[in-house]
Amino acid sequence: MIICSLKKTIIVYLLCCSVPLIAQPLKLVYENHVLKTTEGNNAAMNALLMPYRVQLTDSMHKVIGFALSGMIKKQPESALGNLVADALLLMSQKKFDTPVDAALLNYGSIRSFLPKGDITVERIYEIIPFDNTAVLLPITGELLQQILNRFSEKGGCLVAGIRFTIDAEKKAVSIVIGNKPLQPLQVYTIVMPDFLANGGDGFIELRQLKYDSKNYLIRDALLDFIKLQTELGKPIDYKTENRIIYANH
Amino acid sequence: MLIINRRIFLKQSTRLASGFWAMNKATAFGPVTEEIKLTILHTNDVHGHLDPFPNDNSKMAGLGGVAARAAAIESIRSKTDNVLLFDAGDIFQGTPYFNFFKGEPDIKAMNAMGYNACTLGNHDFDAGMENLAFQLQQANFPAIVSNYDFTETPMDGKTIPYKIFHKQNMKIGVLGVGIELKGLVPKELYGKTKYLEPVAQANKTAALLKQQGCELVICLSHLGDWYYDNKISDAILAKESFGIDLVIGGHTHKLFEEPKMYKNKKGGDVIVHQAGWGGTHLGVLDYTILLKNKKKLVETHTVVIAKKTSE
Ligand SMILES: [Zn+2]
Repeated sequence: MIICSLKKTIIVYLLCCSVPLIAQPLKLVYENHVLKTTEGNNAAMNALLMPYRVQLTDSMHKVIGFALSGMIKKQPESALGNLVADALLLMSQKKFDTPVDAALLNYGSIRSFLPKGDITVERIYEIIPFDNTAVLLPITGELLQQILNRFSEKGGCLVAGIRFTIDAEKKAVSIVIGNKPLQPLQVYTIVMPDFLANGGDGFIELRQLKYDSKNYLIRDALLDFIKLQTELGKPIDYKTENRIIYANH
Repeated sequence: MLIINRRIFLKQSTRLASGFWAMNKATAFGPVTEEIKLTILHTNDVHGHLDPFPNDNSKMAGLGGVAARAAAIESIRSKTDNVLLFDAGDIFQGTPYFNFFKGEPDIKAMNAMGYNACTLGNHDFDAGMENLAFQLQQANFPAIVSNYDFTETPMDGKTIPYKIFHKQNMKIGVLGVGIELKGLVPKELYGKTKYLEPVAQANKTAALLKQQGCELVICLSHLGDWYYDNKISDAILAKESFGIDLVIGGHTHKLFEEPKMYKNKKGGDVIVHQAGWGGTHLGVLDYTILLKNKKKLVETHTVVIAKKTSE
């Protein structure tokens, strides 16, 4: 028996020798090593990071402007939302060097509030933590109506250059753009976050449109806008002004 | 065509003959089996998370940071000899560090941790190609991309298509594949960069690496692990590949509970793994490779996977 199986092994072994070995076995032991500073904190790495941390903290604590009143985010419209939308509209006109009809941002674009008093860079990072960029799109009045309808279903958005009413059916009505009623066939130049233009928040129809980008962050637009106001000696003073209203309210 | 075929045939027959000789020698003087241990460490989509995530009750609270990562890497290196450390792209973008320093501390930290190579992610283009080229110049490790043609761009000559690492008596070939930038990265940020079909480029490069005697071929990928549609992914690449043993993935920010295994075109096993994002985890892949006969070219591998149980 033993001899027999030994013979078999030898035969198999010899067979293996005469044909090229194609597949070789590997053993793989894996682990997803969880990284926690409590389990290991490299001193050299902390030393390497320190000057960057210090400089970052200094930059983040820099005061760039002054807010006359505290501003929160709210639907359908808020002072903070108006500030961000105006900043995007004005600064993108400068950046792209072209007239822009309106700015549109999803409500989720802003994540925090602006307290009364000194405005720090860090505060702006808290309000806009995402690195979305400003993009310009040519949009027909017809498509704009659809987009505003979608925003109305969600309770509102951030706008500059546009006013509208959200009716009882949660549709956008009485839309005014550039102080004129919305024209379905007219093509408007709209600035918005690339997030929306790439089909985010369910705006799949926007994905088909070609947009223009200068890799200009929405956050940078807000920072630049506030710095510009400060240079002009103006504090940040924003209120709601019926850009978006709910009907029957 | 005929000449090429004959050349391949000649090469194969010499290989066969030398292999046969080696095996004969082995039976005469005992087996030349050599067991090599190789540890592959990997990260992906770190996105500027040099500091740990803040303690805000989220799932990632307190995790990550380069200080913790460096400590873990140091500890692994102290215990084992053959270690390779890779990143699968999207090193940049995601914290104020990037907004202020454009990737400088990230590359410095990776230098200090002794990264062996990285590939490029779409977000690595976010501060422009001049910046990416500048930051990579400060790196002590190469950026490996086999499917971007950077001719006539500031990135020309700043990446390499593959690299061979020598560990013990083994050659490990590393290639890299990047995702299609069109539609994902603003045009002005990638300019004239040409995206080449990744499967063909990966197979071509892997074949070259095998030809040069690499026992193990690793592909650093920023394609993403898998998509609902037929968009090219690590899963498709693995199944369409010939000579790749391991795909270290990224882009989709997935923390694989265990590595995925696919059969390649030759019926060999291809492993795909991805380590989440934000630098909260370090992927640790401990390979034991039996070099039964080094004279023979290994075309594919069969892999037995097990989870690490304890230290
Ligand atoms: Zn990513």
